[in-house]
Amino acid sequence: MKCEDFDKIIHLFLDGAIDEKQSRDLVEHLSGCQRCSENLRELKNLDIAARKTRLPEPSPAYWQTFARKVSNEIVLRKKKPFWAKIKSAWESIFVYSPAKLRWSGAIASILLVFILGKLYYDYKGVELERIRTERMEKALSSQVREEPEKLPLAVQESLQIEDQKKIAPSAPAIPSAEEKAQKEKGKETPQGTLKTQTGFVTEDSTKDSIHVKAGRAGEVIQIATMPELGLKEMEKSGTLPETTVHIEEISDKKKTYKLAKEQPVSEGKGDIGLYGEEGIKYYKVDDNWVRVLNPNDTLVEVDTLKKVITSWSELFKEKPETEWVLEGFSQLKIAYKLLFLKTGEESILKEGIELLNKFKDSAVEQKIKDEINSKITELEALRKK
Amino acid sequence: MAEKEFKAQNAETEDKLIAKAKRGDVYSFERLVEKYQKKIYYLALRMTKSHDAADDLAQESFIKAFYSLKSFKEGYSFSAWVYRICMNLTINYLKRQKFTLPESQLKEGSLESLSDTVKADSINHLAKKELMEKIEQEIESLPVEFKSTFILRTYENLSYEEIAQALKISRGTVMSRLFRARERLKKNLKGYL
Repeated sequence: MKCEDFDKIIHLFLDGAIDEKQSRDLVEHLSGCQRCSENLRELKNLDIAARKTRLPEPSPAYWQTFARKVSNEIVLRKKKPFWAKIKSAWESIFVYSPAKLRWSGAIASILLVFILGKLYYDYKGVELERIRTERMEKALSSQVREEPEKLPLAVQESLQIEDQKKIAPSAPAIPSAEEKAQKEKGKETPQGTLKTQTGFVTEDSTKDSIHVKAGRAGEVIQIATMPELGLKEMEKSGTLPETTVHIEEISDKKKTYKLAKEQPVSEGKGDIGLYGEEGIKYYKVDDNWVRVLNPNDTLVEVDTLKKVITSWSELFKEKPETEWVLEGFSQLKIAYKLLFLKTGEESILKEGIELLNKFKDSAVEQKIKDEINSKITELEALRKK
Repeated sequence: MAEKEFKAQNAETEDKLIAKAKRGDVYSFERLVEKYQKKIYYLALRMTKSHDAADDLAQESFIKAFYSLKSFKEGYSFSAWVYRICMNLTINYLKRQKFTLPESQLKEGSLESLSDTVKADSINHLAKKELMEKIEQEIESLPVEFKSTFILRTYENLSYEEIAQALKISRGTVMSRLFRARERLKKNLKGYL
């Protein structure tokens, strides 16, 4: 063993906690080691000298009364009323102690950090919002909007909300010549001549009471009855506040309106109609309201795109000869393209190509086959890219 | 044999006193105080170097012990339990007084009562007064954890286990603190020992 090992044993020896073997080893070691002998001597002297220090002896009277003082205090404290105990506890709070100071400091620091953090966060939030808006405006410049698919997906996502806010309410209505004619002249229906207006459902609409902005700008007119125009679907897709509807005037005086039954803006071809004037347009494919997709509109939600794909696919399965076939394939291609740009999953394009190939195989007319083929080529080009 | 019987009888008496005190008998508790008052007072005095503080701390230790008697488990050492209470109160007191420790009023007194003969041969040549002053000074300057361990071992003669119980620390920690306290004192008293 080394001298350092004996340092501890020397302490054990001084405290009478040494065992027989350690004792033998120590004796043997000390006989040949001056360092450890000196160490033991010094520690022993320290112990002896320390024990020699004396404290003053209190007087005998002190000891005679000490225990009685303690018991008196115990009795006194027992009798202390509750309010006095509360008072002394309260007073003790204000007695200085380092521990209390440390705790108070810690709590104050936490509060300070929290308050400063909140203030900074609020300031930064406003600042970030301003920067974000500026970037949005830049990002939404015409050049970017022409090729939105070139933007990173994250940017596209972040632009979505802002872009929708900007586009939807203020998009200028460009009514077709036919629509203009309808507005001016009204439209003939089996029920008779009805004046048809286009309304804009406002945000305060409820299920039973739809408010429509119609007639003069800013005028809100209540519609008394529940529409049967597939508004439930519109509500589900979350597009109610932005959905354009066609209303049938009942009474000018009361200014109450009833939603007109199916009144396509353009003449419906068979069982499909195109609805909507401002901002967002819908096809009514069978009983489904299906969003009209624009190739540049990268802000459409994934669910909406999936619904477009499902609706058109089902229609073609049931009615392969429909006159809307070219429009439908075009919409399918756009839906797959937008879905791919949003999710970045190549499998989406693969699925789209396979689906279109199926329809191509089942198509009879060469014109339709060629049309589908061109869509497939576009998707394949995108996939390779 | 007789000593063992006396100790057993004494312990039995102490247990009875504790049992009575637990039931609220202040008089029985007073007997216990009489038995341990000096040990507790001197422990506090060693730690604080102030009679007033030691008096307060010793009294407070016993009062706290009385009100905490319900938590005292039979079979444990009553003295070690009160040591622990006293040591906790004293350590808290010293921490509060850390920056305002008065110059010891006891130094003079303790030196006056110093034994005239320091038996260790190697320190005979030193001025005893100077040595004692220096030792008291160094003990007082020890960190409170080292000081409490050193005092319980050197002046109260407690074993490692008893110190561990009184300070609620492990035996290893007791040994380590004692080792470091002594080594520090030895280093600072180099030339005196």
